[in-house]
Amino acid sequence: MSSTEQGTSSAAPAEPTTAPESAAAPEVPESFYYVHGKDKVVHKVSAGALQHSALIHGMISNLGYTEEQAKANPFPFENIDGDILQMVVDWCNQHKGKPTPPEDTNLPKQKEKLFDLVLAVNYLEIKELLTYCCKQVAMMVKGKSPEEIREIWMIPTDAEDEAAEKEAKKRAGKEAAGETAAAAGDAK
Amino acid sequence: MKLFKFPYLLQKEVFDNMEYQDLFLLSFISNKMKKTIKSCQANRFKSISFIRYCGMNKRTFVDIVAKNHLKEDFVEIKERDNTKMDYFQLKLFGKIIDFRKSRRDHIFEAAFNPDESESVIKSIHNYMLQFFGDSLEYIWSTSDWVNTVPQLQNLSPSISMWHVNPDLIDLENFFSTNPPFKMIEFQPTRPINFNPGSKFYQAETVVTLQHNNYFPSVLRHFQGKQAFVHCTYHNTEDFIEFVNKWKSGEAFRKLEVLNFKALGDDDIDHETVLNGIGAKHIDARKTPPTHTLPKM
Repeated sequence: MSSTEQGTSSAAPAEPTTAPESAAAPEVPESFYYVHGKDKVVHKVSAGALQHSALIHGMISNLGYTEEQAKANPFPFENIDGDILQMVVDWCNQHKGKPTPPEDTNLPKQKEKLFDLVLAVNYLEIKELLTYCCKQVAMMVKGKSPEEIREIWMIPTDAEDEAAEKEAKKRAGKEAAGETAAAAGDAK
Repeated sequence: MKLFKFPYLLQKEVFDNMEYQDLFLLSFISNKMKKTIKSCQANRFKSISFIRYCGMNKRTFVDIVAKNHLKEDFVEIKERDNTKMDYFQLKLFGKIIDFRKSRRDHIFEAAFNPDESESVIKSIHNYMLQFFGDSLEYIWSTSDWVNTVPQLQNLSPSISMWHVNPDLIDLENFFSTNPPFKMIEFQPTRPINFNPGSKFYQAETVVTLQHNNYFPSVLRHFQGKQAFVHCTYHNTEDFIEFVNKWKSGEAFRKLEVLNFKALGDDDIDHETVLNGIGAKHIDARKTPPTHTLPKM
């Protein structure tokens, strides 16, 4: 299992030359958590960055993990591809503690990557990023003709929808018949 | 990317970020898509205040005005431009119509051949009724007093007639060949008397701006609900007579609002007017009295 150290800052603050007039409250050290996707690559992310994700924020809010415990128990997101999780982690780090801008131009332009990103962001409940992604998906078809939109979003024709519906009905009928036969067999 | 693989809420979020013209195009892709858009955009469609057709017969812009007053361009319906042929065809209520996206300003355009404008507008209108719903208000807003307004379901026409010379155009005939207007903005160059039964007087609202005292003739047999009169010069006696006819029920029995504004230096003599119309001071803290028109 490899690991990346995302969002860590090793630059130590400079020592103050004179004592401040009123002593500031000691800074609470930032806590870190670990997540991995389908590729098992572990990403170290600060709790501050993870606040963007309602799902993860809910999971960690009452954990009280020590650094060691957190490292030993990375959150597995097996349904998210490694490169997509990397994008999500990068976005969370980049927008940690900052107000989110109205536009985000750094989203992937390739439609399959964007599709996976939307699903991942939806699962992780990152509201702002989801809004950007859906805007980007909408922009993909702006100014396009219906046939171009059909191609981009892979929308079936009415005939294909009808055929799929017939097929689904047929399958459901067969399954129901199978269940009835099995139930009759059990009764015997 | 398969859009239908997205959960319903994601599809809705994507549609929420699309302009009406793109949703309209999207609705032609399949019946399932049209149904999905109508279902998940129902609240957005409810936020529409009205859909407005603006322009003349040769060129009509359609825009969508929301209840928060924001306006969105929807489609421009214009005569076919044969120099560029990058049209795609869509079938609306059995009629095949050419559409394209203008490269210059990204406005969605529908084209018609000469003499086909009305049938193209009708097909687009019928599709919009089905797509956005027939409970919305559809307004035809024009300043064309030569061609007649298309007679379409749920369409309320409104017309601006500034500096219209009654000697050059048969206004009586124009109003008789059109459905009653919802609103008429009217500035004649001379006093004009319509027949008592003229459809001009059936307008719900008349706004008249005049530099001379023409309003008594313009509103003589008015049967609508609202009248807005802006005069540069006026005659106080005419105004008092108008209000008293209204109060007594002798005329203007459907009138609910009268707004009379004196423009320029010719200010209203308030005391004469208030005495002449028998105005009474109303205490703003009390329920205002009601005025019942006498039966005629």
